Amino acid sequence: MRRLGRGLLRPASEPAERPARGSGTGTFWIFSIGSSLVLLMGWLLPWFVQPTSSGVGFSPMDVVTSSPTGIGTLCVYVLAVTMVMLVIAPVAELVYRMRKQPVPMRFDRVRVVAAAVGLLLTVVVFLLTRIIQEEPLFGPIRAHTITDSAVWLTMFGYIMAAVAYGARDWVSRRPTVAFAALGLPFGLLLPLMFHQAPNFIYWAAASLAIYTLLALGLNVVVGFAGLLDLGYAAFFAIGAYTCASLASPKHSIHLPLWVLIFLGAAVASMFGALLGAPTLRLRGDYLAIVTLGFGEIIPDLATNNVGNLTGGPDGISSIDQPILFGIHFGINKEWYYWALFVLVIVVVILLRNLERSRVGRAWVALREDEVAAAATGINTTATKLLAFAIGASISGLAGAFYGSIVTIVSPDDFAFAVSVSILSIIVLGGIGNITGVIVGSFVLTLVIFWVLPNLNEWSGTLGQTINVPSLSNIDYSKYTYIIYGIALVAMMLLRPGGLLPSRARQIELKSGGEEESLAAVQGRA
Amino acid sequence: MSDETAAGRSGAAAGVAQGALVDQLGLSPRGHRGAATNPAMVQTLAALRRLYLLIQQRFPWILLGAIGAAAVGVYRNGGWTLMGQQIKNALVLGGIYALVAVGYTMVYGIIELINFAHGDVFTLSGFYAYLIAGFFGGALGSLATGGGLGLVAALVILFPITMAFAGLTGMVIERVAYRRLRDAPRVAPLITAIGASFFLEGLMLLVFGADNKPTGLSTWITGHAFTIGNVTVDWKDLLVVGMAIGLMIALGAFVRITKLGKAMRATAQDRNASLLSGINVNRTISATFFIGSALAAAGAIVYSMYFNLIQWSLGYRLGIIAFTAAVLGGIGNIVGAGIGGFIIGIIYVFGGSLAGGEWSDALIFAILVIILTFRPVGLFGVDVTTRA
Amino acid sequence: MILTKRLLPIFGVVGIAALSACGTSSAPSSSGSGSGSLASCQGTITVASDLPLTGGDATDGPPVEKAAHLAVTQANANKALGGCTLKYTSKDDATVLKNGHDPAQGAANITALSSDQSVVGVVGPFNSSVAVAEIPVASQNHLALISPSNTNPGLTQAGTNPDVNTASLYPGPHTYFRTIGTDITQGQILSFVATQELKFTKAYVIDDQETYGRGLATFFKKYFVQDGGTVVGSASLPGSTKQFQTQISDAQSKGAQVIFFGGTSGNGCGVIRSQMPASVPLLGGDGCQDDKFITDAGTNAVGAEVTSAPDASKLPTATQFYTDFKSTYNEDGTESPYTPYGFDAMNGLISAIKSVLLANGGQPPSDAQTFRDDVVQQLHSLNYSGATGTVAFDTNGDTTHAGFSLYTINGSKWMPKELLTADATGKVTVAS
Repeated sequence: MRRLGRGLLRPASEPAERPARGSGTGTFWIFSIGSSLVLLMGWLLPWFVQPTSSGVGFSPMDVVTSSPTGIGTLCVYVLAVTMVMLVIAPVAELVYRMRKQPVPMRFDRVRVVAAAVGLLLTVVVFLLTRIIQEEPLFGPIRAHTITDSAVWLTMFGYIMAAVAYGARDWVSRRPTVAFAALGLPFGLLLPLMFHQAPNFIYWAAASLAIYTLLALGLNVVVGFAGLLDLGYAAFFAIGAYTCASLASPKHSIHLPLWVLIFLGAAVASMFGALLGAPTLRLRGDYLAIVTLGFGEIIPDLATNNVGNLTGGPDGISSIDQPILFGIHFGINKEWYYWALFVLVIVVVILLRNLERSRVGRAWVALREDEVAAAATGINTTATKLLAFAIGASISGLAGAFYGSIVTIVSPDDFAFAVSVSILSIIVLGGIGNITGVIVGSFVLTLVIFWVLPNLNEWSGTLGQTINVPSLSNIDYSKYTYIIYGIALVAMMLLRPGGLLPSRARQIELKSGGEEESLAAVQGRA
Repeated sequence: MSDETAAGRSGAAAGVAQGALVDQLGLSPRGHRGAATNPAMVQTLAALRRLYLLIQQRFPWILLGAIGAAAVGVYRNGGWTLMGQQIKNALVLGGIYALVAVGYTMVYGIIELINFAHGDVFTLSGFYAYLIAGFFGGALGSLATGGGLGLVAALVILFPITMAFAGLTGMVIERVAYRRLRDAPRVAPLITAIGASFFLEGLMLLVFGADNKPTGLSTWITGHAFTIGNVTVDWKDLLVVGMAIGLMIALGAFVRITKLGKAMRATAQDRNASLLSGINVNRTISATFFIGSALAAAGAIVYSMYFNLIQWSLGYRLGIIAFTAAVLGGIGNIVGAGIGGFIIGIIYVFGGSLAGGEWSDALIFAILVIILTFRPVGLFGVDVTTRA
Repeated sequence: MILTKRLLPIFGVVGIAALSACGTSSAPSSSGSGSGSLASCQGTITVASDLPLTGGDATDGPPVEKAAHLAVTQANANKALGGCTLKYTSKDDATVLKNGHDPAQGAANITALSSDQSVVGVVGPFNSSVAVAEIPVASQNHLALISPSNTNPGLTQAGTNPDVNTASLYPGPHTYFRTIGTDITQGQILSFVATQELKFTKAYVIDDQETYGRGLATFFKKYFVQDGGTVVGSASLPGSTKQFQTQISDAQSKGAQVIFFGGTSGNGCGVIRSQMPASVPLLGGDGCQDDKFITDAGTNAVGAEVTSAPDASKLPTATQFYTDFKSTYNEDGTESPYTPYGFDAMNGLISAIKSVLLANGGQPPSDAQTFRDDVVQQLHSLNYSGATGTVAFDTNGDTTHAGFSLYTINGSKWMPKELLTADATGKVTVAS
């Protein structure tokens, strides 16, 4: 008889030539491809941000009519060469990997030099245009803006490439540290890099940060404790509705957000425990279906306006947006993002500690073999309840912020599709791996909540420009469901560990959890 | 196979199951951290346990009582007329749920997978029917509306073709999304099943658009069959219920009599042993998916004949409701799924009539949660011999 | 510009694109001269629309959106703002998740439009539930919002609808306007139709739980009872409901002569019609009057009577509009009665912008906030002769002339039967 408790995943056949490096190689690939994409983004950004506006400083006509002269031209030539080199670098990596040859050392050296030169030249050209100031090349610069988006992105792309190719071994050995070293500044400076695209900042706050929190919370339940929760959006809804009710004209109560996030977390975790108590003894798929039912009932209650508390399908609107130290969060959305960014860091630190604590080890044991865990004296019910409560409380936090950012909560924001999108994030990123979950949420929310909606506009503009009206009539957001579907099916079939498989998981998968001590690995990581 | 359901199943005796279930609730005094030393705590726990046991043992009676009370409520609201009409509505819905529930129960019975995409196969079949009906330039439609014999001919064309397409879809889904994960922990194929479900929904959204598609099949069958009191029964109503019961009986016979049916039952009981005794397990499982999906297609056709629409997201909620029916009847139990479908239909309609239609869905989901919590074996438990 | 150009050789595209900002502001320049003429006006002024364009509302929003777009195109062609040009942005407040209008998406759209400093006014939203989410955002950002179709009275008149907290909708100035009457009038007219014209005394009322549907159902019930009718039962079902058999049986057993549906076609108006017996008529509001209803209702469509915006297709003032619409889009523009209202709303907005420019010496005000405030102020005192008649607003932002037309299905098309108006006391008269 097969035990369900043993993880969610089947043993994966790992590539033979790169053994036991954990998620290190994954992190390297993320850096390599990431730097390429970021450089590409810096290149195309002006077009991305405002495809329709005239006078963006770049148009094909400008290129055709201008002639190269002077030192600036030289700089730009060199810049172009470095950029192309680094943009195609991942492709070269892939070729070597497919031919199963090690990448020659000199390749890395050349790339590092290219990255350094590119970085330097970016600064030089930027200063050059800034000093000469023939025209405001970089548009209106707001007070909190240090410099231009494209410059930021380009510089960051070069740095990322330098780290990836210059410190390949370090990245592989200490993936988490490397990820934090590059990810933290990127995350912190994100609103500055994209200050010209309010859309993007809104996305970063309302989608990226919120979904990252949600995915971190679901990861506790699914990844750490191994319980599949298909109704996770219900706790999100509970948090959001709690806070919306207490900070809106709906009931004429106006509590500050900083109180509400704790309240939302508390109420959501209470519901988590409440739901958990009678049902947690169910395992595997039955538990999944019970949580699914719960996840459907909560939005239904909200839709039916129970006790006139929830406002029916219209939900609760005009939710307060905080004003702190004279900063109106509703107008300066980047402050929402920064607040959430800090929150995510705090949650990550707490979760990492929790994972390595007694409770974390109990979760591993539970996931591995529930009967054995119970036999060793672990209170399985309490341990599971704790996972549920912690997971729910994090989504309650997210819910409080969500309502405040979008100013309205309505039942459809918490439909099953939301639960599935969070599940897709952690399956894509790597079940049980915090870094993976963050990467997964970045990738998936970028595609679903930013690229797809904007594609409508871009292709509409393109359709008008090249006179193909059919292009403007495509609704790309319809692809959302297919993307979730493919992410789930393809990941489970081809790479069940996700983009960045958790190290503990990998050892579990390889050894069947017998030969090596998992707790030791967890303690060390 | 998970331990407690395994115990519940193989034992099939309620008593055995209860012991195991209560223990896993964590309410039994195992002595963790001295929780049981406090007498008040012990008493509360004991009371909770008794309540739990009571609900668990008397579950069918509680359900029956609730339905009876609802019936009285409906009678007081609108007399026999309303009662009769609502029973008719309930049987129609119940027939559709039953047809879909059978697919869930068969697949679960044989590979213990909650085939999440089944509801979407239902929707997709509705679109198949819509396309097939319109394929010959609407010739099928005019044939059907032309006269009695033409209608029979049109139905004889429409049903088998749609069901065959749906069956093939089900087989493809099994082959692509589930087969590789057959030996994985149970939750892994569940995740791919959700993925497959979303993929199908997305596909339908792309191809057919977000809006309801009126299928036009509702004009095929019109007219009243007979009247009892003030309740008029249409031919359409008869078709739905007749189709559900007829197909159910045919399926029961198929599983009992034919060789493939026997292979299904054998595979459901013990896959490895079936393999050893020369049964082609892969083919048997494919056949199960084919039959389940084909029945869902029959449900989809009668649905679109009755409600005159099909929409990409329809299958999700309908799927969960049908799954509830399957669980209610004891998942893995074909006859149980059929009866469960009709019971769920009655609950759905009576509940909606009494509490307001907006509560119907929530009521069914609550029942789903309650059954799985208190009585995962369903109303009848599982008779292993009929499982397939 | 010189350096930029020189830095842009073919390969330089790579580098310079990386460096160049998206930059030059599209906000109008502010170097104002003293003259009152618009010829010297410089800059681009953005106007937007926010309507449901996809999903279940795909027959409602697009014609209105096209009409609004047409108004901008014409204004630019006629140089209505002199040297300044109008830029038009269209937002879709429908989402896949809701299969139609989504208040959260609407709020996000208005947030995005507000943060674009060049946007001075928005035509929309279409649905009252979206309006409830959008008005506070627009008000906070001083952005004018002109709806061609919101009928819920609670949006502008405090105390009229218990579901809507009117005061809380306006944290900033009152920036919301609409070109259509409210559901108080519509409820009175529908009740008049039911009791006086069709002579019904028993109605069964179903709504779609949303701001608009619930509100309309509430007002219909109120006036139906006042006019001597009896509401034999009611139901409130979410927009995703597809099976109405239970409620229809309920209505039949209670002897309802008519079923009233408060809600939109996207939320089941046509579906409910297709599932109910053809002999019982369906009565509804403007949310039902579109092509989707006809598609959904199928053979049962006949026998529905709904009120909607006063039919403008016969008005002499609207002839030019319909001709232009037809020649631009190759569509009649008569599928939705709201089409000319979208046109007028946008033209009203453009007219207000023009007044602002004229008052400011032919130039846009330098400060975006001031510009928006001025536009709102001009809208309050607007008096514009449009396709549907005079466009003017009272202090609440409501249109000064309110009435509704009654439509019935005739040959699988909605046909106006008569125009009805209600006076302040609630007395309904047939105007034509």
